[in-house]
Amino acid sequence: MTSAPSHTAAIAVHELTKRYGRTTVVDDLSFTVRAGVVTGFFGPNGAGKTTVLKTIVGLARPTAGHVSFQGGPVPSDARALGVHIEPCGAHPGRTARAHLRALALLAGLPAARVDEVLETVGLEQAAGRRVGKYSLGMRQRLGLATALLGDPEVLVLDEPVNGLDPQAIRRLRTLLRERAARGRTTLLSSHMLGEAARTVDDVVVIDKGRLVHTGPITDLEQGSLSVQTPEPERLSALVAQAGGRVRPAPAGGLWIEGLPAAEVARLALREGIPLEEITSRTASLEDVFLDLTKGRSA
Amino acid sequence: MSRLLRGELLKTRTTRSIHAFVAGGVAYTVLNVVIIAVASGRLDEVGEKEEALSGLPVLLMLWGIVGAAGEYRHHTAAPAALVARRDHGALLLARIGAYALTGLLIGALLVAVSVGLALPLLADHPGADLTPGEVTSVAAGNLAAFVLSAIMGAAVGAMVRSPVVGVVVVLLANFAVLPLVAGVAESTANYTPFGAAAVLVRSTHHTTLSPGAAAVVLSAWAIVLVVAAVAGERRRDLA
Repeated sequence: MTSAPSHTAAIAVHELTKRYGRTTVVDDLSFTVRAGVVTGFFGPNGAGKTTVLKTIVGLARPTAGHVSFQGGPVPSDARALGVHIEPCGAHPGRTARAHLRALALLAGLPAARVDEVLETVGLEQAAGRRVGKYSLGMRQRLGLATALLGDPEVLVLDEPVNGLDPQAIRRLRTLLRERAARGRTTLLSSHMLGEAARTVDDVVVIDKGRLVHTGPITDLEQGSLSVQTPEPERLSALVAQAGGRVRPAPAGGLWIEGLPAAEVARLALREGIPLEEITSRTASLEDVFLDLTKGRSA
Repeated sequence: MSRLLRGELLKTRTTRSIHAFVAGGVAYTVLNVVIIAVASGRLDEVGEKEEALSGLPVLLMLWGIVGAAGEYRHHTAAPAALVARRDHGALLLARIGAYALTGLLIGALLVAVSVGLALPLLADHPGADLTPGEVTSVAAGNLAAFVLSAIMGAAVGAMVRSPVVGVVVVLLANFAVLPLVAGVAESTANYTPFGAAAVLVRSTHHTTLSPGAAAVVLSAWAIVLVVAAVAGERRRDLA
């Protein structure tokens, strides 16, 4: 597990645990979300992502632990925190405009914001239609419009690209990057790792409700070495001693980061550790994600 | 008016269910007046004539249940709480208040229909006509029962969080349990929400409970249910 980012935390999750009856969904989870960046929140199905997001924003009560926003409690203002957690939360018999107008009233926001967010998500032409007639992508965009209603400092989005067409995905990516450029914070969960890799600055990976990895995405995307050796324990100790990072790979191999191949080969030769294979590799986020969660979800 | 109440009021009137309940309420009111004032023979007692003006408060209770429980069925309670950024109990109170106000408006319409339709028909019956005071008393009783029933319905809906379960429970209680209780001990039945509402709207007039006392009983039930619903809302996860 890599270290947490050291920048100012927009969201700090402290030792969060959530149980439903005897089932522990989130287990002593701690991580921080840096202010002014887009953070991807990843994990396999059933990892507890949505539960964590619900607990962060106050929809679910933690069994133990707590969440802080910029050092304080969860903000009491739609201008501070915007949230979209599936489903979009609009009554199927209500029009999108009526849905957003009611929420604007509840939030104490001007009615003009409704038309602004409808335009932002490209729903202005369909605003008078009942939500029950919407496609999945349209409902997703309505959920995003709801989250953006208060033009919030912090945005929490659960699977925001589900059902979106390529144009809408690009529009969302642009929106999130523009927000980050203005110092706004986004925490988003997604299964679409390739797309998320193009959008996020930091990643938090959980599995079975526990933290697996947190840190800048560049840490994950940098090159690594795939090494096969009959003595992985000895080589791991040597590499760690030399400042490299080691993770287990399939078939008893090792992933080594932070050291060039020549240095690893020299260390192995010096100690008489045979190397059967050494391959340089640039991993995608998907590769790293599968690697990080391999075996944990079995 | 608070922003929470205005937001919740907008929600109550922007789905089609309100139209269905208003149409159902008007249809029942017309049918009740016609059956009692035209098809029930001679009405020569004040109590019999008042019954022609009686409404169906359980309809407003169902309106509250369907609306408030629907907030959880359709997951609309979560975004409301997220943008309101207030204590979930305060938001539920605003929601119940919205159903009370909407119940008042629907109730006023139903009372106007029943009074406007029944009084000319009742004038043809023997015995003393209903005095303006008696008509006002019946109308006020109906309005109070409608509003309190809408409040109780919204509170029950928030507790059960399932429109189907809520509607089934209320219909069973009103049409199966209440008659059984009344069969065993009629005076006890008057102290149930449905019994007290029946006294208040004058659909039953051979009773020891006065309309004023019935209003107190019904108000007590409404307060208990609202307190329980708000306490539950504060304790339970919203999603």
